Amino acid sequence: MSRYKYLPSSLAEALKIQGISVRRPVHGFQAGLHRSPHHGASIEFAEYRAYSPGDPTNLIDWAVYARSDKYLIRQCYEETNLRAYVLLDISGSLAFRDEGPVTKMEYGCSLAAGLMYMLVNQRDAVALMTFDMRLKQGFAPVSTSEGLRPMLEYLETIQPGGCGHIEAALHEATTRMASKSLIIIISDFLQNAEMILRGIQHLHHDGHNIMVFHIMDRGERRLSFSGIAELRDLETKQKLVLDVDEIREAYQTAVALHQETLRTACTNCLASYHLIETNQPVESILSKLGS
Amino acid sequence: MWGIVSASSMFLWLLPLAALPILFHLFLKVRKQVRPFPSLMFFLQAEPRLSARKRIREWLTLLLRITVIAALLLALARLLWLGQSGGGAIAQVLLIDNSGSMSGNAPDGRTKLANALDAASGLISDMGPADSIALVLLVEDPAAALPSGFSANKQLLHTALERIKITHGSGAPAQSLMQAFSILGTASTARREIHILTDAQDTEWAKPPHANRSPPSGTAITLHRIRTLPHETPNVSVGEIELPRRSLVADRHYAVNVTLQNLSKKEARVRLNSLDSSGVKHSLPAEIPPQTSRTITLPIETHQAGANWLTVDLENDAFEPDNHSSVAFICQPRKKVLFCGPESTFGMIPLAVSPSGDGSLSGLIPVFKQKERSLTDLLKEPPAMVVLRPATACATPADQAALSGYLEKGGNILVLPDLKTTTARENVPPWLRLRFGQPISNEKGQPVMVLNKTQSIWDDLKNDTGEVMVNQTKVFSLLPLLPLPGQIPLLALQDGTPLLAQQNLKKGTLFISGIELDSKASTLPLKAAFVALIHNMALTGQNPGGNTTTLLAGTKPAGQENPDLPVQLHAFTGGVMEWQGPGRNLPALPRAGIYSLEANHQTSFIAVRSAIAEGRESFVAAEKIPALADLSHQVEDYQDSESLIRLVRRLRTGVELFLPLLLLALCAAVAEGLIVNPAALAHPGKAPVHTSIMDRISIPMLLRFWKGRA
Repeated sequence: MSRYKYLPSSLAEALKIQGISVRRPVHGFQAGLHRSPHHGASIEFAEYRAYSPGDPTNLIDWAVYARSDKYLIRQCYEETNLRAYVLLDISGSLAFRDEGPVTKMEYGCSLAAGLMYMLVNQRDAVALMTFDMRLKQGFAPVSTSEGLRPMLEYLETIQPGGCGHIEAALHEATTRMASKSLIIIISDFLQNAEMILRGIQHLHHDGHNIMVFHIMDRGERRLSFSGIAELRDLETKQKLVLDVDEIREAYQTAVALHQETLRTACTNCLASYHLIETNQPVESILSKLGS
Repeated sequence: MWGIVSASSMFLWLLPLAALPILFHLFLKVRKQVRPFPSLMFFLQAEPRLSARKRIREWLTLLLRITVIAALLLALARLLWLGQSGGGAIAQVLLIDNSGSMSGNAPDGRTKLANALDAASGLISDMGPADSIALVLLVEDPAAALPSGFSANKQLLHTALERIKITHGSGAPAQSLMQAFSILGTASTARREIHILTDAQDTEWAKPPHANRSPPSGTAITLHRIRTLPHETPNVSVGEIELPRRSLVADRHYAVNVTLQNLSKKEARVRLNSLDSSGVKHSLPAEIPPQTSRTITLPIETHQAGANWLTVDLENDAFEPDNHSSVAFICQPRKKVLFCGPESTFGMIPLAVSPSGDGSLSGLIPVFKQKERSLTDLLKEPPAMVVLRPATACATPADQAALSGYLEKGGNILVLPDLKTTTARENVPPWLRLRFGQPISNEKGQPVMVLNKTQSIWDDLKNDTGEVMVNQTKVFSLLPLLPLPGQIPLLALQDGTPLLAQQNLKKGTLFISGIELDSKASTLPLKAAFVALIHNMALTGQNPGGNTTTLLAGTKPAGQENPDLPVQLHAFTGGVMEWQGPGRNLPALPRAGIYSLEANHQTSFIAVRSAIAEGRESFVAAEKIPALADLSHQVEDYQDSESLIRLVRRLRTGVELFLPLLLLALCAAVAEGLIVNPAALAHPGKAPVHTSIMDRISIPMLLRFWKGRA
């Protein structure tokens, strides 16, 4: 694995013992670590139910019958693996770097690679989808390290560009994903919060587990420079001349409000929201996630 | 009507400096950093109109900076905002210049006085029902009979204006202003105005005041300057009339000198007319080169003893008020010339004194002393001159005393040499103990020369070149005079031996001759100038001035001994004037002419001549009038009465904009600071983040600007 740019050996080694769990049951296609909506043959007790004619008799709990003279069937949870879809934003705004060591795009790629490796490592299936205004590239879910290779190699070729439209991309993604999966969204979420919220709510409605990684550069967040500046939008190429010192406070307030809106919306959709600055090591983020 | 006038218009020329902020804005733009940024959505979300707002703020800042500079410059320009509102009664004094210079033409072709009267008439017509106006003249003119003090009667004031005529004198602004202040001091209104309608001639207005004056509070002084059309033809002024420097007697012809001065740069051809008290008129043409003076000699006849006068006027020049001059003088009756001895012993002198013997042409009557008559009796009525020989004249001490008394009182004595009589010198008074040298004879005759030509005795004996017309005289025999202290030689031989001398003793004059004044001793009696010489000797001495004075037009006669006594003033020439009143109120005499003044049953004569200075074409063109230097005043160029009324209306409600503009500049500066540093508004305690553009301009920036690299 050491030959991948976004998954160096050190990261892979550190993530080997980490895993990702989900809150909601998932549909898997083989036995795994995650709870399935179906009852199965695990050792974890789920419930009793009355025997119905046709049920296999070996499922009857005879000890209960001895005490209560009732035919009850003992049911246990089924444990299965999960399908995870990593949705990576590759719009032009991800090319920004100010105080962080890498661009937001590079950081997002590292994060995606780490997450995919963690999932594959616990025998889950993972797929990669990239988007800007719409889905750009989609890989089928794989559950082996060997199957992960094309996606890791693809990450190295990504060049951020174009305008992003997260809501549209999320709506489009729901049509391509199996139900009750894990959806990992890695983006800077530079879109109206309400629009993003509609996309997330769509995913929640479909029963997916959702993880949101909001990547920001510290300079972008704090607006650390000062003076008169001509700012150029990396996506729309729009220009704006302003006195940074004058607008800083309002800007920071607007950014904080945007983050809070996203965090609240994610909470409402049972999604986990992670605000990450690009100067934070990917390894520590993923380790914290795994623990 | 609205308008703004500036007191210091120099600063208005600096107004383009207000565009400096625009130049700085264009050429000294603050460098901005170009930064790529992920999204502008948060900026636009924080302030949706951020860009537009910033642009508006920039323009607002620019506007405020321009306002600061412009308001400061306008404040320094001392603008006066002329509005239309305002109310309250106004007390106005119209000070009208009626001096001689106002007879000159204004640009509209009419006289300046006509323009001034138009302006005054306009102001009178424009006055409100509660307003009042007083009229004051620059040259006092009793003939104008102006209402004293304020009047609200327009008809009365208009009628008074019609009586104002041009005078021949120069005005006295200081006195007229004090009169105006005095009148304004009686006004009960808060708003007081003095409108001076004048041509601002240097003669009156260029001299600074002697002392500071303080007008009544709230008095606004406006000088409406009436422009002058330059003279197209030369202007000649008539100076003082110069009378002969000796006694004037009746029944004689005299020559008086009149000085004409051509003030212009062209040659003047004028005609000088004279009129004397006998009604005799003369008229002489005269050509005067440019910017020179010329003396014209006029003949006059004195037909009667007593007061006589002469007036002269000039024709054919551009300016009339300085064309008049006059003089009054006292003529004595025919006077005797007393010869101490028989007629035959005095040669040609009796004939020279009076060819007819009765003084009909000379005003001098020869009288011969008989031996039996004493000199004391004959000198009781003092003769014009006594002709004597020392040895024979003073026979008794009484005669000597009488002769001495006569001489001390101003008599003239001609002493002839004693060639035949040898009387003891003890009989001669000390002042007659003259010393003569040894007799000199020369059959061919010796030429003589004239000495001390400036003596008045030679006045009428000079030709046009100034040479005394006795130079060709030859002397055949004489007793040379031995010089004594105080003697002034008049005639001498070519070697300097004096023949005729003059000695002033107290008020009298002693003429000592070393030659007999007959044709045997010299050719002098054969000269035409001999008669004049003898007459000049006889009439030497000051003409008794008596009760005659000469004044410049516009001045008051001297104060009377008892100012309470009634006085009557009457004009002989120069216009109609009849005035009577107490002596203390004696008016100024504004026009040239001859006036008689009767007070306490005594009559004196006043000759008034016009002021030469009024003909000068020199006017104050400055914004401030030197004669009003101690007073706050405004100078406005007069155009017409309507413009003047509009101007006056505006001036009445004018507001000094200095303080408002200064406050505006201050407010604009503060607003600019707050706009440029909004943090100062948000966090008053913190140091400003930004600085205004003036702080941002550094020397390196200016250098870049200079090099065109900014």
